[in-house]
Parts: sequence; structure tokens; C-alpha cells
Amino acid sequence: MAATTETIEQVKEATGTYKYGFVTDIESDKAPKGLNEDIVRFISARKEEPEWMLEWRLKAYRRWLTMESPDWAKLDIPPIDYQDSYYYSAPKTVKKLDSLDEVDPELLATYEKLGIPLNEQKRLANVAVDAVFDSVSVATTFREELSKAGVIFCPISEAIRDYPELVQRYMGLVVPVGDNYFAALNSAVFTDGSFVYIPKGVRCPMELSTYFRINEQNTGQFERTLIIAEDEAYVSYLEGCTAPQRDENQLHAAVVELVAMTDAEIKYSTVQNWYPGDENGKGGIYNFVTKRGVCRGDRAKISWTQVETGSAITWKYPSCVLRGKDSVGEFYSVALTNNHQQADTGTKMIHIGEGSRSTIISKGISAGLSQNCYRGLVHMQPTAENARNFTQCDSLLIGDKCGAHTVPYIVSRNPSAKIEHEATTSRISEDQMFYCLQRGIGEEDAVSLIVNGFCKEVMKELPMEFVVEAQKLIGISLEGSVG
Amino acid sequence: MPASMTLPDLASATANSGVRSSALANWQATGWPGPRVESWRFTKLALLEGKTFAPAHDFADQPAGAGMDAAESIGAHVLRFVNGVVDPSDIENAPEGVNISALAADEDAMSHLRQMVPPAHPVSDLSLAVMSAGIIIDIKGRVDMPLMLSFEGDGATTSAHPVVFVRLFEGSYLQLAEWHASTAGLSAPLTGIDIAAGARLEQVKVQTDGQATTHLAATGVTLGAGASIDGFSLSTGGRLARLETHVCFAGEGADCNLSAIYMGRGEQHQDITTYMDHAVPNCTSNQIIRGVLDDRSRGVYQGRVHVAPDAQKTDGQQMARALLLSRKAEVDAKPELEIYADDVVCAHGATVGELDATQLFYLTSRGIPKDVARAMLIEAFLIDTIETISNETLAAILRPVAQAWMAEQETL
Repeated sequence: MAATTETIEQVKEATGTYKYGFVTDIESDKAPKGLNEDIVRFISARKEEPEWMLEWRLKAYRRWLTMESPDWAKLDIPPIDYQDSYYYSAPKTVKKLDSLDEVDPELLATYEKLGIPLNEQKRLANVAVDAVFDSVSVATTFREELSKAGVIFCPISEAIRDYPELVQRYMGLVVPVGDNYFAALNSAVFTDGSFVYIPKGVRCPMELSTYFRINEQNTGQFERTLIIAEDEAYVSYLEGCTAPQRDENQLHAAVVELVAMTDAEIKYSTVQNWYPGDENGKGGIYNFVTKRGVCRGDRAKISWTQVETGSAITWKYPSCVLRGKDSVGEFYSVALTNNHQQADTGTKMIHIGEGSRSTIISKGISAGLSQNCYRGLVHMQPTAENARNFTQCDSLLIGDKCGAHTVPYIVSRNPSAKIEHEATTSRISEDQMFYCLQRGIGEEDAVSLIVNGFCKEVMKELPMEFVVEAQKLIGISLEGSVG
Repeated sequence: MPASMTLPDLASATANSGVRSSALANWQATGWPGPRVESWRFTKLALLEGKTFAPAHDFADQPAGAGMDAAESIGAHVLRFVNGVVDPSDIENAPEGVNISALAADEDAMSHLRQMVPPAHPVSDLSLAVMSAGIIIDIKGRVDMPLMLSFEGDGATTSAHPVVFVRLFEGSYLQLAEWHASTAGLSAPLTGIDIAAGARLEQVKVQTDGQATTHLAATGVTLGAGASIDGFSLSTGGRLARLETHVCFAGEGADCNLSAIYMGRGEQHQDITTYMDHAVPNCTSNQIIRGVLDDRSRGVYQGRVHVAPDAQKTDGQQMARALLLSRKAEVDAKPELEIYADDVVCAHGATVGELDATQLFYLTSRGIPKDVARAMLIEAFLIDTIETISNETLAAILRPVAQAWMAEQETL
């Protein structure tokens, strides 16, 4: 408590704004700096949450206080002062720019390379767009179509109000509040995120990505996503934005929970390109994310696909708990690090159900001075009769100043379960480069081509419309890593 | 350290100075690894809780064990350790090229040996501190007669702490066999193997300690330029056994083959832990690990290949496979790659499973009884690993041990 009081005092002294207490003015809807129970209450009140939600948050907060930041990852994390950030800040009304001419030319050049349509470029760069692109109307159209199918897709705060029984039943089921340090922090202070509910037998009529890209642009630092697919339901969800966000936010701790019932399938794709910091390692997002799905029913399937090119530090292990008989878990990952980026990412496949199967394909690319680590667990419990796992981890090193690491954990407690793991580390061969160069392909394009070939197995799992952008993103992220 | 974990009787060690007293201080400060120490994640030492051991310090003769027979079969010169204390008569008539001296008198050697395993290693600190025997074996030139280190002993409350430092001088050659058949409560051998430029060591280790013994071995290997080691371990004994080897490539062009087979049944816990430190360019390391686990036994393989920033042209290979023969057996594997250089070829593979049902069917459909067919498949699973041993003399003492284990399997 002493630290909290101190913070309040400091805020009071430094800004003189504390006299307004928690009554914030409308222009900058912000809670005071720091983290304590009052901040948690403030967030909950702002979100007009029911009492049970506040209790849940407080429980998480108290749990968080007793926990320690994990240090087992191969990451060099500078100490984070949790009292030195804002935990609630409503989307700021940023001044709209009048035309693209006012936008940072470097940013525009990147959009150009990604092949982003002009209208979308304007939206991303916060340029006022015409009515045709009005996200509200577009959103309404989508919402009508979705509700016709019975699909619930709304911000999590709305779901807490409108579907409390669903949220109460499932939130924290897959990632309990005390699961880990960052999950506990998120549980206490999450401000944004999505809620998806697909009723029995429904195949979601569209990729939920499109909607997300338009409406959930200004997601907070602490998102919370919950996706529930009832029996025989199907949904494909794409998170993130393929265009670079010039976000200077320091800490990003999200939680994603997936629940798949009998014969349901959830496909979750991420293209993460948060600001990685500059070439000297200054700035950038610390991305500490807990993602986990549970296949509760028989033959349920959860598939994670991620393309991670951004963030200064990535700490992320999208996992599957395969409880159902013959349930399936998949993890396809490309993690690319350049300059001073650090990534420690991988997956956990917990096999409980008979005949459960999992596939892990991980492609790590390190360039510059970066460190890239795959860390994964395959756990066969005694009940996992005839379960099967196949893991392949390949690392590619570009340059001699970076590191590529593979740390797989394999635990098998059932003899009929079969586990196969293989990992390789190599660099771009001179033959491959020579082949490209002598055909007139420039050095950077050649590297991009070869790296994309290296990642092909993962890329083909992405929803089609994003493959092209993701491929270009890899090329851009590698810029300056050769020559 | 949990208070319930009692120390061995350290009375004899308190009088030491230098390296040994610093090792003792270190051990007293850290003790056995606690539950959260990552490198001991899969191997918990709860068995040692509440146990007090008395390290032996005087040589007490016993009837010769199986290691002596094996030594005789290959015509080896034997250094016999009983409860970790070396038979003084074996030190004198060493073959030509072999010089044996006392380790405790040589502070530099002890300090060097201690640096060959990671700092604050429980086995190295404890065994250096209490040291039931400490010898240096210097090898010059080519020694054709194999050298056998035979470890015997008994007594549930006895602990053995033999410390052996083998130094192969430039261009020398040695065949070394290590045979453990002790029933002491704790067997904690610390071994240093320093192979100078161009020298070669061919080595096997057979671990057949008693069913109640805790066998915790720490071995440090340093390879000079162009040096090579061809090592093989077979671990079938002990209630809990951990064979931990740290290899440091100190000179370019060195080559290391380090393979192992572990076999467990009953309540046994078998752990093979290796660390390959590729500190310099142009070295190769190759590991083939096979495990067979029956009943409620548990097998662990942790292998790390570390390639330093400038260690280009490194070739590091690891292949670990385990066979589970029973519903209650468990295997844990953690093959790690930690790579900081780009022009390298590193790979690891790991598989876990049971005997292939179609292979079993193939054999039984041809009239081979099921238990025989199973034994054939287990043997086939292990045999190609033993076949990689380049030294036929040393392989010859290994095979019967594996076969005896399997023969026992058939009669169970």
C-alpha cells in the first residue's frame, strides 16, 4: 500500500490533478497513473460492470500482487514499473488529418509496399475518410448478417452487460485469473477485447477479421478475448493488423480464451506487427500474451496460426488443452526478429483425450542482433490413449550476431501415444542466394523470397486475403538485414 | 535447501583448505537442488530427503564384482574403488604411459576440474569437499592396454565420492572403461576428462548400481584442437541415476560422439543430461540416445547444444528416442538448441512411443512367440546405437549387460 500512496502523492505533486479524484473530464478520459484497487474499481465503474465482475477483477488483482514476473524465458526484460503507466485511457480523440500529405512519408512508403488500398491507408493513418468507408455503417451491415445466423460478436464489455451468464460461465475457465503473472494483471485491468459466441451447428458466415480490422482498431493495452464455439460450430477469427502501428505503448498483456465443444472448430490467426523499436533497440512494445484454447468436446479442433514480426519483446505461447476424444490442436508459427528484437514463443499441447492429435510447425527467423527462441511443451497424460504429436521447429539465421534457440519439453505418460519432434537450424545457403542473384533478383528480394519459401507451410494456413500482406510484411521486416 | 534434506556427514571435510573448502562452503550454502531449479526439473531428489550418509575414507576389500570379470575379459588394467576409496595397490603397477598421482595435493588441478562442470554444481561441490578418493591419471603417448575404473561398494548409509581427473596429453590415446556396480546409498562420482590437442579417448561407462542406490555422476570433458572422444554410457542400475556430462570444445577441429542407452524397470528413474558447449569454430558433436522403460520407471533426457557467437561451421546433432513398454512408465525429454552463430548445421530429433504393433504382428504371424518378438524388437531398437561404438573391445563388455537386461525382461 505504501507504494500506492506514494504514487498518488507523486501524481498529486507533479500534476496537481489529483484533486479531481477519479472524476475525469471527457476530453481525456484517463485514470490517474499507477495501479491499485481503486484503479481496478475505477475501470470497472467506467465499464458499468456488474458487481461480480468487479469482484473477479479484484480477486485477480490481489492474486497478481502475490505473484512474480516470470524469468524463465530467454528474454532480457528491463524492469517494468507497473505504477508508471495508465491503466485506463479511453480512445483518445486524435486530431484528424486533412490529407495523406500530412502523414509521415516513411509510414506511407511502408503502406505502399504492403499494397494497402488508399482508403485503408487513410484510415490507418487517421486521415478522415469519406462516408463510403464509414465504419459504423459497415459494422451495422455485418452485425445484421451475423445476428441472422445467431452469432454474437461484440466488445467484451458489452458482453459482460448483455450476456452475463455466458461470460460468467466461460471467462477464466481456460486461463484462470492466477494462471500467470501477466494473465492475472490482465484479468484485473482489461479494458477491451472481443466476445464471440457461435451457437450450435452454426458456421460463422464470414471471417470475423474484417469486422475486427475496422472496429477494434484502438484496442487497449490489455485486451481480453473470449470465443466460444458450441457443438458443430465453426469460426475463423483474425486478430491484429497487418499494417504497422506507430504505437509507443510499452506494455501489452492480452488474454485470449477459446472454448470448442463437440465437433466445433475454431481457427485463430494472428498477424502481429506491433512497433518493434528502432534499429538501436529503442522503444517498442513488450508483448506478453496468454492464449489458450480448450477442446472440451469430442472431435473439437483448435488451430492457432501466428505471424509474429513486431514487438520489441514477445512472450507468447498459444496453447491447446485437448480434452475431447479425437480432438485436434494445431500451431503454425512464423516468428521473425530483426535488430534488437527478442522473441520467446511457442506452444503447449496438453493431450488428455483419447486419440487426440496435435501438429506444431514453427519457423523462427533471426536477423540483426535479435534473439529468437521456440519454447514448447507436448504433454501426453496417462489418459491420452493413441494420441499423436508431430513437431517441427526450423530456425533460420541471417547474420552472425543473432541467436536462434529451441527449447522443447516432451513429457509422455502413455505408451500408446506417439511423439515425434525434430528441429533444425541453418542459414540461407549460398547456393540459394546465387541462384536468385544470377537471375537478376536483387539481394533483399532474394532474401525475402527465400524466407517466404522457408515459411510457406505456415503461410498457407493463413486466411487467403492475408497471405499476400503477411508475405510482404516479412520482406519489410527483414529490410536492412543483408548487405 | 529443504531442511529435511540431511547432509552427508561432512566432519571429514571441514579440515580442508583452498578449492575443497570453497566447494564445501558452496555446498553448504546451496545443498541439493530445490524443486524450482530448471536443470533438475525432471529429476527430483526427494529420495535423499532425511537420509544421512557417511562417506567412506579407508579402503576395505570386498569380493571382486562383475566389473573385474569384464576387465579381465578385455585385458584391462584395473583401478578398483570400494565405496569410493581406491585400492592403493592398483596405483603402483600402472601400465606404461599412465601416471597416477594424488589429486588432493594439486590445488591447480582441483580448481581446473571444478571449472569443467557448471559452477555451484551440487555433485562437484559435494564430492570435491568430501572426496573419498582423489586421483589424477595422466596419459602420455599411445596406451594400448585399456584402463578400467571399477566402482563397487555397499551399505545403505554409505556414500561414495570418488574424484578422478583423467588428462590425455597431446597426441595421446586411451581406452577407458568405467564400471559401476555399487550398492552404497549414494554414489556421486566426479570425473574430469581433459583431452589435449590431437589426443583421442575411447570410453564406455556401465552403470549397474544396486536397486536402492542413488547414482549422481557429474563429468566434465574438455577437448583441445583436433582432439576427439568417442564415449558411450549404458545405464541400467540405481533407484535413481543421473549421468550428467558437460563437454567444452576448447580447440578447433575437435570431435565428440557421446551416446547413451538407459533402461528402466520397477520404480527406477534414469536421467541422461548432456551439455555441448561449442565455444570455438569447426567442431562436431553427435549424440544418439535410446531409452527403454518398463513398469513404473521414468526416463529423462536433457540435452543442450550451445553454439557460441563465433563458433562457425559447427555441426551439432542430437537424436533421442524412447520406448515405453508399460502403461505406467513415463519419459521426459528436453533437447535444446542454443545457437548464436549462423554458419552451422544443428539438428535434434526426439521420438517417444511404444513397440510398433505392425512390426509385432509381422513377427508373430510368422510363428515367433510374442515375448520373443518383443525382445527382438527392443534389441533392434537398441542395437544400432551400440553399433556406433568404434572400439570393438569396449563394445564387447557393454553388449552382455544390455542382453542380460533383456533376458530378465523375457522371464518377467
